[in-house]
Amino acid sequence: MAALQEHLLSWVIFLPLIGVGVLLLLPRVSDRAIRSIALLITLVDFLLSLKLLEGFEISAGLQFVERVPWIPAFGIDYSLGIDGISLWLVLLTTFLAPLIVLSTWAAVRERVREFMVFFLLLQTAMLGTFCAQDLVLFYVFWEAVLLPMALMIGIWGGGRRIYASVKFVLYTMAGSVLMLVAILYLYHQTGSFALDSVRRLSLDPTEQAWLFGAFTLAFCIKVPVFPLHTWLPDAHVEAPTAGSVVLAGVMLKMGTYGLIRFSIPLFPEAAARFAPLLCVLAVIGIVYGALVAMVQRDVKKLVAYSSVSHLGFVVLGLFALTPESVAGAIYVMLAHGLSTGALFLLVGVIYERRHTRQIADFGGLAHVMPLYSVVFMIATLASIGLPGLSGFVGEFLVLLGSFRSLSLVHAPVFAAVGALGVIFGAVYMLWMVQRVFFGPVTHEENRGLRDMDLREFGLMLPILVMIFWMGLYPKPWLERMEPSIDALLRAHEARVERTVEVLPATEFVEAQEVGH
Amino acid sequence: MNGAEISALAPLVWLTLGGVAVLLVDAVVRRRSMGHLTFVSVVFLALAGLSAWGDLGHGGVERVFGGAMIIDDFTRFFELAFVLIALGSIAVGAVYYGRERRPVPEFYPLILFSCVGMGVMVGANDLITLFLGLETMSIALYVLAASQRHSLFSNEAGFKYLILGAFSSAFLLYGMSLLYGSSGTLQLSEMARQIKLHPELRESVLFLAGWGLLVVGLGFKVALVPFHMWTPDVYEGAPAPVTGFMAAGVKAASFAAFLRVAWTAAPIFSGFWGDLLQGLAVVTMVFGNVVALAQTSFKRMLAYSAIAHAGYLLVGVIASSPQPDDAAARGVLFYLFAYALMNVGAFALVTLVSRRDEEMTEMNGLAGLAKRNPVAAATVAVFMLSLAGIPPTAGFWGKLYVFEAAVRQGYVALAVIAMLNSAVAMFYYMRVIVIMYMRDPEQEAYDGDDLQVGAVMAVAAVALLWIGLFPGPTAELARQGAAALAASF
Repeated sequence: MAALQEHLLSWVIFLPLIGVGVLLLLPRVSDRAIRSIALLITLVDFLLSLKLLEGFEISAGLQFVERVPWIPAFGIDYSLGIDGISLWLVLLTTFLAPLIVLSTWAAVRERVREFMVFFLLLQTAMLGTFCAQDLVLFYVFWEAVLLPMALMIGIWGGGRRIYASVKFVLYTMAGSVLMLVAILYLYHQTGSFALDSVRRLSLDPTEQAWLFGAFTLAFCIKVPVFPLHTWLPDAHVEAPTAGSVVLAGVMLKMGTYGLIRFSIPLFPEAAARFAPLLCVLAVIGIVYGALVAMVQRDVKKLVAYSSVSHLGFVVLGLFALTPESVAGAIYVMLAHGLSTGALFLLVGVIYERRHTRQIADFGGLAHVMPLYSVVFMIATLASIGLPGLSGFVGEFLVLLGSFRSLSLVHAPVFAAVGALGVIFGAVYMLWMVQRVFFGPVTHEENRGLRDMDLREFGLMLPILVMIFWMGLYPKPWLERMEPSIDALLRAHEARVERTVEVLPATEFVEAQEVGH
Repeated sequence: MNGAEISALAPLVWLTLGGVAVLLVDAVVRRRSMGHLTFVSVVFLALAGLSAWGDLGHGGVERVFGGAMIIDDFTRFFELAFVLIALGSIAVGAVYYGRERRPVPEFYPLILFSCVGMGVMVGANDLITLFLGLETMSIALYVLAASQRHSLFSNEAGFKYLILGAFSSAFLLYGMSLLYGSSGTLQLSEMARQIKLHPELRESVLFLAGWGLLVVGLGFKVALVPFHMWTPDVYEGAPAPVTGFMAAGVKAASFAAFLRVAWTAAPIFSGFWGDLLQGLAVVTMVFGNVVALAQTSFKRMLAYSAIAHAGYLLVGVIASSPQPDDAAARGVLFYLFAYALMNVGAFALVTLVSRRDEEMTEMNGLAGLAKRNPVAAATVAVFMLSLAGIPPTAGFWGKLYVFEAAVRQGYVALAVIAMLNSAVAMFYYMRVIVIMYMRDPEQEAYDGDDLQVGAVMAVAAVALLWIGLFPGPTAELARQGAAALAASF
């Protein structure tokens, strides 16, 4: 047990990888057995990650730190640790995993073993990304996500799956290779890949601008920030349900996590300088995503574009750089993981029955599948941000924080346009719900549809519980992330003010004056 | 010649003896199958490998043949790599040629003799010795490339390789004669000293022309653009195990020699000449990758990817300098070692899925391989990821080491171009994975279940992943090798 306690984080990260080994070594067994093993592993992993929550102390410092030299000649460490931000993303990942495995029970019938292997690999890589405290280790996990996801889309996806899969890989690669050069440059400057020593480095503004650009480009592609989002609808629509849930639920958060863990703290002056630009892109994304979602005929594509809109809130919150907005952004990350994950799972449920996702093919489902309709409504309302559900808290905090942001010129305008996105969100979601669920049953073939069975409801139930919990009582979440956010912003302000003295007449100063 | 010198030469001696032994055994034992030849070759390769391995990392330096060759950790590192490449190629080749109607027993001694040539080339501290090594390596390969006597492609490959090889040898020899004429010495370490002592030598037209011609000659061997024209045709036409051997071995040996030559003339390869080399690297990377995008043949794709990789490696050579603990040289050595594993493995795939007289060269032939032979598909996925430089594979660390050194030496633009190129390269490596995993076979599928070839691929893939997770020990060997090379100046 001592070894478990000491290396808890490693266990959480690498348990799925052990699962991969088990699955590969198994002789020919039934698909059911393989699914059960994968489910068991993800469940145990979730329980282990709850121990993280239990042992987590409310403070700003890194916890569960593990640090072993990995490649001593190069100063690369196997260095892990989580703070209040990583903690929740790790938990989100482990929480969704068993549900995703359960959702594939009926959906994935071919090459089950390969599917589970890729899924568990993905799990390890995503968890590692959120915990790595060494730039090279982070990059290794970051890139390791690529192939399993591409294969999941490409093998079990829909009609244009190969196109979507290749597009996903190329977009992500194009961003991350420049990040690698930036990492090497930082190493050249500090002689270390450790995040804490890179954080102490002072770089001149030009260097910062370039390095910030290299990191931020990689993350913005992953998020995705408008106009780099075009891979997302393709990937989401073609991916199998489980793939979409992983993508929307966790993988997009790797991008926003990167922004808050690397782009902002490592290059504070550049972050302050480019914050207005990123916020502009973010609000464009919020409105654009919402408008495009409104005209979609395919439910899945609609949910995919709604992700572009929601992630816009996250980026706006992060770069507004106020305590409320950053906390809100992280809260949106979690809430979006739940609500959009739920929506993709629900779309999967109906797709398995009807093999179509066109809004026009449905209508009046509330009469045929009452339980399904209720669950779908709750997920929808959570996604819209109805007060009392998970989506509200985060978006409210983001708008509140960005309204008062000092790093933006005309901050209230950003908040106002963002709020417009919330309204649009209600429009496209509710309109879709109305067309799919209400009114008379328009298609005869929909009359005989089965409602959700026990497994399907069972896997939705935890998400519903969390949606209410996060909406009604956000304190456990917020109080654990707050110290980390405060520390981040304090460090940021200290760094930025210092350069302001050295460098008068930058755009940033103007921004601050207008803000005051 | 004393005992120490002979023991330093042991790997090369074992390889030579092995080649002779195979010839004798083949002359004496008349058998249709060639298992006995495989056995003899493997025994001698193992002996050579063990003697190289035994001395590796102890820092021993032996100057043999009156200083014409230096046997140190640099040489031994490469000798070990060549032995591994040859082992893989022979294991695969035995299956490949075993399918042919007429046996090709020449395969074994030629591989061994070619290895001897590579070893001599790497250890050469003297222009004549370098040339001898290069020719020994190349002539064996000309024959090997054409060893499928009934195949027009194979004949074309051999002939093309011979003509262009002879062409490059002429450049090389002419360059060497100019260097000798202007500096009065053939020994590289002596020449390096002279360049340091007599700055006026750096202005001498003859001397500069000599280096230029030397770079052209070696540029042919490592396939730098614009000296790459032979590569796609020879890679495609030559029998797959030979191509794998060539891609891995020739690249490693020629880059080792390139490194030594570049370090000898380090003061010259700065300024204008350095810029020229940088331009060569950029053109090579971009050309290789862009043309590889358009390939439908697996072997041709790998040929253009080999050109692109020559560009990445040249970045490493440019960033390197004759210092002990030079990071770039360590990166180049590491990269070459990893690259050898990937190529032997990737070309083994061609043998695995081919039948007699019918080599699988089209990428579409791999469709559905993940269903028919999941293990082989998984290993190929590892090779492709490693070629693309995706972690956690050895190829990632090779790129990291090389480009880190480039950034450190101030070649940031070069590193950025190289990384952007690897993003482009991901497209065609990814295509192989896509075809294997996501497409269903169009025509009648190849079985591809030969255990021996599969084992070579599995070993290579596991090694790449292992080095990818724990690159430290290999990097340490590479560091010692690079340090030994630096110490020889």
